Amino acid sequence: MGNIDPAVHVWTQKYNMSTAPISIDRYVSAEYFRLEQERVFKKSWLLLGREEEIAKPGDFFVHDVEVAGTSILITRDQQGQIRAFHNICRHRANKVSFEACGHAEGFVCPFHGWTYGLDGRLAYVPDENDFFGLDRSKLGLVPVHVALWEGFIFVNLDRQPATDLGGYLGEIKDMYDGYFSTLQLISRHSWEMNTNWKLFMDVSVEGYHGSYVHRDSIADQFCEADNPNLNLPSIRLYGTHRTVSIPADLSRIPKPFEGLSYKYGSGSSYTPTKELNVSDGLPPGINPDRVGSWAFDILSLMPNMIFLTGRGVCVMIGSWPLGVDRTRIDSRIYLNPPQTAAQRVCAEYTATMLRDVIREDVDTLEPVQRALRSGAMSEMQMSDQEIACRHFHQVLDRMIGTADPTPDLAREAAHAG
Amino acid sequence: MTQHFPAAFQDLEAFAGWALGSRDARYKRRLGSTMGAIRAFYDAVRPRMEAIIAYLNPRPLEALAEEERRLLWLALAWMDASRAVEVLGAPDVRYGFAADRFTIRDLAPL
Repeated sequence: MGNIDPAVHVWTQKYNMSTAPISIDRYVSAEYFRLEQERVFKKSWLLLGREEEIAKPGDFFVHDVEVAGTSILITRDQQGQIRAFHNICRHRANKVSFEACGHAEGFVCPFHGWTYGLDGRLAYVPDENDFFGLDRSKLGLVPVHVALWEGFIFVNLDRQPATDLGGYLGEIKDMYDGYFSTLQLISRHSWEMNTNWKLFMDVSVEGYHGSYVHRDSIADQFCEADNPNLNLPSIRLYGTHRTVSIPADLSRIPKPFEGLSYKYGSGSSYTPTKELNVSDGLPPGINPDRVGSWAFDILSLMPNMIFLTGRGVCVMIGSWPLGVDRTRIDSRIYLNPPQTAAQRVCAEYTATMLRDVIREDVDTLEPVQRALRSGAMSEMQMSDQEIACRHFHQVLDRMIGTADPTPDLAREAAHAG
Repeated sequence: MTQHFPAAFQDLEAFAGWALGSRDARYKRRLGSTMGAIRAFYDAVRPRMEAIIAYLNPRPLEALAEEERRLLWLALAWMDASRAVEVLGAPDVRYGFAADRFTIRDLAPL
């Protein structure tokens, strides 16, 4: 813990965090990845979608969870209850649904026609008498623990989850009350890249890259004259999860197309102006420290979700491992639903901006992964401003069981402060 | 000659090729265009954007007539093209992950 200057390293001081470099093994080691699979992704609550994706009884979607070696089928049954199952036929293990989403009375395995209800019950087996003492009541789809938070559907693949979803969410559980329910999905971007999944988690919770990676696009919206390195005005490290707030330069004069968007838009704070920089009425998780010059926040939810939460706009991004150096990103943009042409045009401003900015964010990651694999470096340096990255790795180590036995230092320090 | 837009916007007929019905298609148009072509489109539509919005705004989005829908697509393409003109100074970001490796699904009402 040497070299800490309380006047400079305010966050490290506040949260009593380590200053040690981060080992590179965790991005390239097959053994570390195996531990992540077994101890993190097969044990954690994983966010797979939103309630409104399966609004009516019979609606379903499938989410492949390659990192846990399975595919999950989420249904809304005839009673309106949301259920989750391994998408695996109990006969000879074919996928029951090859459709990504849809509406169905039930599911017929395309291999031999075994048929399941929306509640997972095995309803019909062709030529059933040819089997030997088959008990259909014991051969329903294998259920998975499922729980809801603010309209999001989470599953836990563990047979006996260590905590319920509320316990897993911890302090943030009650901080977003109603925030997401007013927003509507307007765009999805997805892509695969040859990187470890954690590189995306890292780049998503620091502002330090902003004035470089985004120098041609959006840096000037956020970097005030007295904050050229985009230092973060709020960093909150919770027991398991974390948030940071991104500042806004409210003195900046909008460009013509931005002005049009602000004039007719629905008050998105990714496009901050003095008039739109309002936190009133937002739940406590949004701009949690009520920063005056505020643009938006980033919530990093273990293990693999990133939310960019602003006024009237939210991006939800999942970083899904496909292998130690292969990742699928699923990015969804939610906005206040556009009701008029003007609002629709403004939604386009946000969607096209985010698309370009996310492309800039991830452009660094494949070259970084190749460099990490080269063996030229064994560790990475992380600054006080990158403390949320450090916290992510600390919690991950704790989940895997390789951390030192003082897992709640950060939380205790924060509460004491 | 086919009229793509409502009568009040026939001055924009020359840019009907930008009035594409998906964000992905509009993006590809931007990325595949020269800066000169993007600027010509931007310059022609910029002084008309307020009029386009005023014209379309009273009409329910889900009930737009075909030529009105194309006019909305033109306005959406202008928002994308404006980023190239007003922010980037180029058709694409200077350092960006390959656009053709992105899958874009547009779920907003059109």
